Amino acid sequence: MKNLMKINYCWRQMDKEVFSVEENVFYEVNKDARRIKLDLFSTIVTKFGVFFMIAILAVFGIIVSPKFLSGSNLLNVLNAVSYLGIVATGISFVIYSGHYADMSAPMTMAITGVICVEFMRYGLVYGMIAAVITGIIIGTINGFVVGKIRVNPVIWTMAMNFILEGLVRWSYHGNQIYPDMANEQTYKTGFFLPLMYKLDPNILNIDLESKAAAFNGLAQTYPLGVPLVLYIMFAVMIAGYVVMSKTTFGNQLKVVGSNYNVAKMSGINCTRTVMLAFIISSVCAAIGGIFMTSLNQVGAFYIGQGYDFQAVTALILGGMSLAGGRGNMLGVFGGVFTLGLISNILTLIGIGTFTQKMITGAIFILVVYVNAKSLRKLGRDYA
Amino acid sequence: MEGQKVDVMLSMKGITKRFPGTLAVCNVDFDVRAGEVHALMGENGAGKSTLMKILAGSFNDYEGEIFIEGKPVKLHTPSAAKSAGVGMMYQELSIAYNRSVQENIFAGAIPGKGIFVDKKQLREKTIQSLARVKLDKTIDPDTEMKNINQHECQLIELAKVLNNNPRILVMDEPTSALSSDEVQILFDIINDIKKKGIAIIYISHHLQEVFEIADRVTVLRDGRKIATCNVCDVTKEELVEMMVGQKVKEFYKPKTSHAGEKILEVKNLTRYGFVHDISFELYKGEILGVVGLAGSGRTELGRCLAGADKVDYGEIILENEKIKIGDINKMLEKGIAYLTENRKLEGLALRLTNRQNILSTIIPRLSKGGFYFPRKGNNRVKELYEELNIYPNNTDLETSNLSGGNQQKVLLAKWLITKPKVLILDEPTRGVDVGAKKKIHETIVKLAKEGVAVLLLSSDLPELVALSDRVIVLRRGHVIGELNEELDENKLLLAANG
Repeated sequence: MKNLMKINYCWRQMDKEVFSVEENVFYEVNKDARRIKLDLFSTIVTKFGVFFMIAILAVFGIIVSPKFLSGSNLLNVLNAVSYLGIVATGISFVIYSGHYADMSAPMTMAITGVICVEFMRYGLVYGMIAAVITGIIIGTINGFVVGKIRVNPVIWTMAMNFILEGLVRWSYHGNQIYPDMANEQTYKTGFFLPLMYKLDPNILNIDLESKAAAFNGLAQTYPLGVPLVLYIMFAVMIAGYVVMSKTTFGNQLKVVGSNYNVAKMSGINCTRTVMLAFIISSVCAAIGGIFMTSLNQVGAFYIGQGYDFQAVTALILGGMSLAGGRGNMLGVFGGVFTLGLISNILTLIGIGTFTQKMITGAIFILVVYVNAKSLRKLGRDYA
Repeated sequence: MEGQKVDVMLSMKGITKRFPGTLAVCNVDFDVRAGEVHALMGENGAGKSTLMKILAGSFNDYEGEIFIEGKPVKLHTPSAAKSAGVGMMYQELSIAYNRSVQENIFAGAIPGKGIFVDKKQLREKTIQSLARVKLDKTIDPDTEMKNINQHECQLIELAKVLNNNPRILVMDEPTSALSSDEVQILFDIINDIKKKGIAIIYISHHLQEVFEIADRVTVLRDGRKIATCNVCDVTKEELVEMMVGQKVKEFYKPKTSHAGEKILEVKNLTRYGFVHDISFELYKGEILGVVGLAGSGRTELGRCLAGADKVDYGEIILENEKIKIGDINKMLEKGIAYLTENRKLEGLALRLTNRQNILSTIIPRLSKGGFYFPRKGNNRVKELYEELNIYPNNTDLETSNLSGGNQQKVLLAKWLITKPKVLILDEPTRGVDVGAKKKIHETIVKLAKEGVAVLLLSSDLPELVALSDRVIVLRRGHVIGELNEELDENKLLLAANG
């Protein structure tokens, strides 16, 4: 009977669809069977999963060691991850834009560190400005190549990382640069040092000691008993939060990250948006680089090593999706804090650094699995 | 043919296929004889492609029976269809453009010696199969596909299908990208294949071609078979009437004359290879339809006007002011909005909420000093929700949770919120249910009443007839005419076909 009916016309009522057929016979079709109600558990896991993890880790930590819950220990955890937090905040913009990750972050940290050390002999502020400008330049190059020429972001930023590493090692002849030591030999290597020496040979007699103390002190300052770098991390994250969710750029970035072609067809300047994301990433890496170099009291190519993958791990833990357009700053903080807690608890148990790496890797796999699974439950298997 | 024993190669009996909410194919009987070219015709959505997909084994839940050479077969998987002798040649070619001709033809079945490729045999076999499509003299098997022009690609695709020795060959719009000379070459080859006793099912919108090549024709409409007849027994007009039928019109929009002022003038718009010297005028409150077959440059025209594609030359004059054809953003600021035909790839970011999707076009307008204030847009979003009756009525739901029709409404809302002066709609109701279609049509008419100029690019003829004040006809990238009096589907179909 139904086969013979010709559907001419139908309209939708709120609850049921009614078809009028040729013979003016009405029959009802079952309501749209697609699930519109979402699985509450899956929604929570995708949105706040990382905070469950922090809670579990906290319970675990209390069981493992009574020292865990002490203020100084928690401050230590935060201090240890604050550098990562700064860098991850920057990279979160690249992930958010749907361009996977900025793999040039480690060498951006290193190169901005050495540039800061070079310029710090004019004053700490000059050093910082020079470092941030270097970051902006690197970010602009990355952003242009990825945003305009549309080169694969991972491949390009990795290549950039190699180029920057080569640049640092070549220009320092493989040496490191110490903020508090300089002789005639030092001024023959480096990026700007030979130029500085040429412009003003008296630079050799400069009082480096006090300037180096100011620079090295950056990572050792404790306003109100809390490390300066922690303040900086929170400042960067709050700024990141505002930029990501409250500005024109951040909201356009969300559309770009969710679907590049849709953003393009909606009149969003994708090239400019992607470029800005990479610039933010590099500037954050530069800030992280300055503090990291200050902490190590030496400028060298290995400053920041491993921060690319650690940052990505933290970001995915924090609910960002490599597919882009998903996640928020609270999650970024959660992800970074989780990594810190894991490492802290493992140290309290007495597990060495190398074993820790393996465990962190395993946790990464687990989290990605859970994340992917809950996304699939929500019907988003393309995430 | 009478008196001779006629071999029925394929016989489909009582085929029915349902999709949620629609009956795509309804109790269709269809048979094809060995050695004939059987044309399958019908408008978009008539059920042609669903029927052919059933034959190709794309569905495992069709109702009805299929017989090949009298034996019942179950075509529940593509491989079952392939081994039953069904060869499909789709409109979109499945060619790896940076591989050679021989690798393409024998993709998946490269002859080998142990684990190595038998190059000699591969070459010989390729030449044999190229001979079937008369390309053995002109194309070397080692040539890379990207160096081969479009119509030869089509023939190579055909050679690839013929390699499996099909008994039934389905050709879906094989001529949509070919010039008339090339069509002739293809027809010669089809006549050759026919003589070998292969049954050919030929799907085309081009009436002329059907009369030239087909022996019999079956017309489908709304999922049902209207008739099967010998091509020599029908006229073009009869065929068109069978396809179009006497339809219950959803509604007719009263035609407006050019009372409004001119808002847009397009002069000699050209994008080489796609649209050539397109000129037309658009008035306030007018709905201008554009009709054209696939490949006629319909979509490209819309994309060029919206600034999505580069334009080689031509002018756009908007409200007596010549504007530079820039990128989408600039055209949007000027008031030209383009609703893409490809909702999933270019229209909506499915992972955003409906509100975010709708507001994505006006983020700069809701911003002040670099900061974004979406609340200012919320009222307008709610208004649009009510106007378009989007279900479910929750603006914070992810767009992926909506049905196709409601997604399409969200897509329309996304462009309506920009308050365009000129709205270009590319297939605004493709693949949506009838209820949503009606709502979208009503909205379009309402917009026109409010003074928006609408350019309606559509392959849905009833839609064009019902909504358009005038229709311009595109054929192979050129405007070949304009229809404004007493539009009906027959006229449009004939005009687009030429």
